Order: sequence, then structure tokens, then C-alpha cells
Amino acid sequence: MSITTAFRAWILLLLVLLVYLASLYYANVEHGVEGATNGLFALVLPYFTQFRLVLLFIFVLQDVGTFSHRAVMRLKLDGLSGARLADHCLRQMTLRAVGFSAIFPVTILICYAFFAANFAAFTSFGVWLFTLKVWLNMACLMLVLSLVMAGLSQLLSRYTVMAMVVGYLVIDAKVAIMFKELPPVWVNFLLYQQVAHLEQEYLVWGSVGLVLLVLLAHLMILVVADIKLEQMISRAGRWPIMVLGTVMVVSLVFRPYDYFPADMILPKQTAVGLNTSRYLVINYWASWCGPCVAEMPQLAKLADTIEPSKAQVIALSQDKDPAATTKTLLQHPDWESKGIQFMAVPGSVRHHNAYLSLLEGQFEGVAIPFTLVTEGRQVRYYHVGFLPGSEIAVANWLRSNPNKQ
Amino acid sequence: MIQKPSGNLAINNLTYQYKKFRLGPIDFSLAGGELMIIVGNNGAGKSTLFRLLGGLMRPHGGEILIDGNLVPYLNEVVSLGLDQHYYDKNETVRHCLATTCKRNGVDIDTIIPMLQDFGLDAYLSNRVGTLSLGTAKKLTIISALSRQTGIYVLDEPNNGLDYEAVNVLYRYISRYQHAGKTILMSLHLTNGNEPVPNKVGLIRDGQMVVNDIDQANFGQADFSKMVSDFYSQTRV
Repeated sequence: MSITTAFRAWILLLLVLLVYLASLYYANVEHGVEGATNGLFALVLPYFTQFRLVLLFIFVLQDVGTFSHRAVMRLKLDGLSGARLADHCLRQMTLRAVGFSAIFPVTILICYAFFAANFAAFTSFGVWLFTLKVWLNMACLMLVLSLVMAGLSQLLSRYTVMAMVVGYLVIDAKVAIMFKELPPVWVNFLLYQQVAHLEQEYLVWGSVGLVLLVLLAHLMILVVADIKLEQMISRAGRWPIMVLGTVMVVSLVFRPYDYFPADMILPKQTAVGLNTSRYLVINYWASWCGPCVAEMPQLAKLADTIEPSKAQVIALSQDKDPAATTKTLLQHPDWESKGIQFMAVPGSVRHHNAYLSLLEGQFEGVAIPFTLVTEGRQVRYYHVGFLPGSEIAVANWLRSNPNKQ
Repeated sequence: MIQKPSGNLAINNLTYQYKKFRLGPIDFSLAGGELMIIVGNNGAGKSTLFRLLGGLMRPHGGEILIDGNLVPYLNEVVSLGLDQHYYDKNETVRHCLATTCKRNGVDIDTIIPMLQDFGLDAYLSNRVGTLSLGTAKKLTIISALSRQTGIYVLDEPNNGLDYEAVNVLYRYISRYQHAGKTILMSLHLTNGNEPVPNKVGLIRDGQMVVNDIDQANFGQADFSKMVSDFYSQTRV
């Protein structure tokens, strides 16, 4: 990708940010709940923060052009070959990955500024550190995917690669829905970066897998660059790979949501203390959010099956208008009887998306429904969005973890 | 990295197989300052040969020697001008040429006279994707000629160029020859104004016949006749 194309890509990113802000404004200020429940916004808004991920994948697909057959031809015609060629390509890809994934820190800061409800986040060193981590994490993810796709695109046409990726995602989603299962661990890891609930062994194997993936992708590039074996081992593309590996390992080991102050998200007047010996299963939802309403029966089932001494299920509504929550609850009398405690998100009287300013920057891909399990002040597990089987995974997690008592 | 530019090229038993198409075996050698013109139909193997010479593909047999040595990466010592330039279509001509010059350690100011001669200086701010066929071809030629190497390989450089630009091209080729550079170029058709080559390669279905030319007794008309004879044989 050339400088011009990169510039255009950033313009596109800024446009998306503008649309994002406009939709939030539209939902929050102009039309309130009724406005947000109508039309496209109700469909898109719950997943808008995850839209950044989609955007990044689009750039990864576009990035294939960087290392396409055509671009490599030009480099070779310019006299670049061997290690020089591989170094050049890797350096370009690294810079671009870092540049494009800057959308994450930017949107996180915009969320804090726009809602002005989380000044604490601005002064928290941990949150800034975490924002940085999200940035590096996404840059690594982009780079790995770019490498793999670029390698593939040397063998297959660019559109074949795109079709393969899209086909895979569709099939994966289909399988997940058919078997009411969560996607495999590594898909969860690669696509959603959700590692909070993974056990240590998964983290280790995940790191090993990722490093192998990077090495494989690197090998593809070295083959394309037509590098001799001894050069391959000694120097070609060494520094980007070292940086990449280090950042990946650090970002896996370093889990800042461990420092997430969980009491920040609970209403102050609530009787539910964080110092109880129980786990808290906290679910963010809204009456206008389709997936949230669809998830609620499953959450009710979870609350039914878990012993009260083990965990308490709390549903935090982020409706600005409490009447909307009440109305929805009245329509579904079965929810409340199952032992879920319904509350409002702190700050939701002022903003419909108060959850954003509370969670953005602490977790990757914040959107509702958002479910997290806390133990004391620590977050032990979370998942974003709703897939059939999400609550089974929560129940399994609770079952496999001993009661603190 | 680019070593001292040298123009001595020797090709021994070069072969390349692609499905049913077989190129070679090809043998010839060129000393510094020599010009070789290769003539052949579409699909005869000219471009394949040039890509092998430019290091874009690995030969399946035989060897390509520069000054008697095998070179690990031929594209570092051979300038290659193919049928297209492979630049990003969103970039400006100025950016493309600046990149090529930077990668080869050439000062961009030194190629400005060449741009003016070819008439490309008026297009410096245009995007590569908007250039016409002939202008894009000029960009291809200049990107190859701007590099400082011993051997220049040009694939059908006169294709799409106007009469004026073809003359400029041939003037540059003569100038490079005088500077001791070796030049290979392929042609479809003769215009009647080609410089007289030192060697002519007639290529048909992957088999190349190399004719040494005695330049004292060989004129432009003889070259045109040789080419037309070759094509008339092809038709029969």
C-alpha cells in the first residue's frame, strides 16, 4: 500500500469515527430511547465499538496489496532482493499495522471525552497502560494476519484469499450457531482477543500457536524474497519479528483488567458488596438492544442453576429512561423470578451509553451485551456479545472454579 | 548490493519449462558495450528469457554468468524494463521515480535531462494510473535506464511509443553502449531506425538462433530484411 492509499485509509477511518459519534449523539441526545430503538441504529449501535475490528480486517485485506505479486515485482525491478527485500516489506507492514490500529487508542479517548462520565479513567495510569496494550495488541494481530494473507496472496489471487477468509468466517459462525457452541479458543483469541477467561495452559498454547503462525508467515515471505537458508537464519527480517514476538508475549502475560476497579461499575447504593465471598456475574444490557433481550432467558437459566452461595447474577440496564426498563421487565415476568438482580448502570440517567465510558479502554471490543464475572475487585472472566451457549460457558467456568469459601 | 557495474554476460545451456512450453537451451555471450536485439512472435519466449535474465525467475537448467561468476540475485546487477512498470497506480510519477532512484542510490536530479528528452517531465504530478499507454511505457523505460548497472534488458521498449520517443530511446541506447553497458532488447517489428546490433536472436517456440553480426558489412536495411525473412518463415 502506498502513502496515498494509506492516507485515504485514514480518511476512511476518520469518517467512520464521525459516523460513530453522530450515531451516539443521535441516540443519546436527539431522540432518546425511542430514536435508538428505531431503524438501523438499534441494529448497529450495540456492536459499533466492535466495528473497529471489522474495519481493521478490511485494512488487512487491503494490506495484501503491499506484499502482492505486483508490489514485489516492482521492488525486484528496483534492485531489491533477498534480505533487503524481506526487511523492506516487513518494516512497511509493521509501520502500517501500528498506524492503522491507532484507531483503538483514538476511539477509547473519544469515548472518555464524549461521555465525560469517566474522568477517573484519564487519571488512571493503569488505563493508559491498558490503552497502549490494546493498541500494540491490535497492531500485532494486524501484522500477523497481514503476513499470513500476504504469503497466501503470493500463491493465490487476492480475491481468492478474500473469498477464503469471508467463507471461513461465515462457516465458523454457522457452525457456532448450529452446535450452540462458542467458537474455538483460538478464534476467540484472534478475533475478539478475549483471553480473560482462558486458563494458563490455553495462554501458553495460544502463545506457542501464534509464534508458530508468525514464523510460518515469515517463512512464506522469505521464500518469496528468494532468500538463501543461511541468510534466513542469520538476519533477514530479524528486528520486526523480534519486536512482534516480544509484544505478543508481553500482551499475553500482562492482563491489566486485573487492575480493573470493579466497584466503579456498580451503583453505590446497592446492597451487593464486592467484598462478599460470592462471584458476581454482571451483565450489561438495554431494553432496545436485541441481542441483550435474546440473551436474558439464558442468563435467567444460569441464575437458576447456580447456587446462590456460589454466585449472584446482576443485570445492569443502561436505559436512560427507567420506564423503558420497567416496561420490558413487565413484558417478561419470567426473568425477574429467576433470581437476577436488576439495576441501572451508574450514569445512565445522563447517557444511554454510559457503559461505554465505564468499560471502554478496560476491555477489548466493548459492546452490549457484555458479561463479566468478578471475584472481589478483580475481573476473572468476561465475554462480549451474545452467542448461543455463552451462558453455558459462564456456568462451566463457575463450576470449574472452586468456591472461595 | 550493487557491485561495480559490469557488462560481460554469458549464458550457457539456459532452459526453462512451463507446462508444455520449453525455452532453450540458449547459449550466447555479450561483452560490455554490445547490443543484442531479440525478435520473435508473441509467446515465443522473449519475456520468459528476459525474466530469467532479470532474476525474477530461476532457470531450470544452465547458468547465467556475469563476468564469469554466478550472481545470487541477478536483479541487483541487471536493469529490467518489462511490458509494464508495476508501480502503484495511486502514486504520482514523481514519487515513483524518486523511490526507484532512492533505492538505487541515484540522485534524482541526474535523471531530469532524461525525463525532458522523453517528454515525461510534464507528467511528473500525474498519477501513474492515469497515464496513457505510451507515457506509461516511457516511465517503464526511464525506471530501467535510471539505474546504474552494467546490463540493461528492455522488453519491447518501442511498443506504444511515438516516433520521436523511439528516436530518443535509440539515442540513449547508443549512448549507454558507448559507456560500456550491455543492452538486450526485444522487438516485434522494425521501424527502420534501429541501431545496428552486434547480435540478433531470432526466437521461435522457445528455440533461439543467435546470429553474430559483422557491423562493417551490415546495415539497417540488412537487419530489416533479416527480420522480415524470419517472419515469412514463421508463416510458412
